[in-house]
Amino acid sequence: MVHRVMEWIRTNQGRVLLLVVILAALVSIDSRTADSAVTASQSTANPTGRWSPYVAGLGIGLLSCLSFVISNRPIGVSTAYAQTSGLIGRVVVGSQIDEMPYYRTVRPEIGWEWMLAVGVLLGGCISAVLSGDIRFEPAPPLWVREFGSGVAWRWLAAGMGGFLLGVGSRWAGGCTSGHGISGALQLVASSWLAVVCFFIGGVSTAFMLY
Amino acid sequence: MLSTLRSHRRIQLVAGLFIGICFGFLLQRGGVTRYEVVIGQLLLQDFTVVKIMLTAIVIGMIGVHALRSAGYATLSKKPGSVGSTVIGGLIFGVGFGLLGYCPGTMIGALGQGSLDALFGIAGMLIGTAAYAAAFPALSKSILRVGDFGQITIPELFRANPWPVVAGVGVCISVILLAVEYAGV
Repeated sequence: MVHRVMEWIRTNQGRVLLLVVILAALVSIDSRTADSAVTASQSTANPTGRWSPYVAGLGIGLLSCLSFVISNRPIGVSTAYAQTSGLIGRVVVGSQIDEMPYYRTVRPEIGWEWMLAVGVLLGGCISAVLSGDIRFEPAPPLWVREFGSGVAWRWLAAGMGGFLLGVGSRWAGGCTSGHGISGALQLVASSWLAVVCFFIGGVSTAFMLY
Repeated sequence: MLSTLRSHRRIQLVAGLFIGICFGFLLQRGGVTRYEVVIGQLLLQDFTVVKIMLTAIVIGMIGVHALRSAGYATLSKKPGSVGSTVIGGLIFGVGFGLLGYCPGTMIGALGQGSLDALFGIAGMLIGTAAYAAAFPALSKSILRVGDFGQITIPELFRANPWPVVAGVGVCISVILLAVEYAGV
């Protein structure tokens, strides 16, 4: 039985039908959310120009496909941080950085991943400017409401959080984009395990903080 | 044609930049570069992050597997082990909750003017350097524990990828529907 289903799905006809079924399910979800999305965005601080999460997700899914076509690479951001720390290290301590075993596997260089990270900065800025959602905030409003306006604490927490993201993303071999989206969509086993652990750690920490 | 495009260094740098711009735009427009949205997700009150991720996974999964079947893409499988994936993932998760951004969204957050993201970026650069320093010791010990290598879920079950794609697609659709009915 399972074998027969697999045989059928192996045909192009099966694949196309499968795609149509899943897309139809998604579209039905999206039409249902049109009204609930409005209430959700109203409850946040600044809903300016925000898209339905399904539209943003659809865009990221298609962008992942495009990335495979043009560059045959998955989208992932955390490698660029390791490359940047290596580049900074090379300036500070010299070329012995390149002898370190880790930087022999992840070469400190300005390549595809690094340009991707620069692009994320530009893209975030372009989107915020176009929708009027650009605000210079030393600390997020939610943090200020909960912990007061002493921004130094927020900066300390952000720095510590960033440190753990740096260690954890390299330890696990990827981050929310590399494992969480790109690895998961390729059905890579380690990526699904990693993303579950990301959320277990994140949810526990958020519940302890708030 | 594709192989010339993919091996052309300058074109690839521009391609990386272009894909990054689109990615940053979509992250910001989807709302996930906002601290409130990420913390709302981790407190299980606002499922925007999960909705974006799962939708991207369904669409990308179908597209990338179709590209792969047609010979236009090769999978890029990250290796894993219990010692690296689970421990690293949990460390990452604690950082995720403390910072309220992830490595990609904090760059986008800086682009929208969230200045605390600068401290997150600085912390993450130090974190990757610290990991690089600890890597020789880690790679001989904990990273090897429970090694399962570069494997996909279909390979794990020795199955054709398409039924797995269908199954995961249906599961994700059901989860998204459930999230919508719960109204979060």
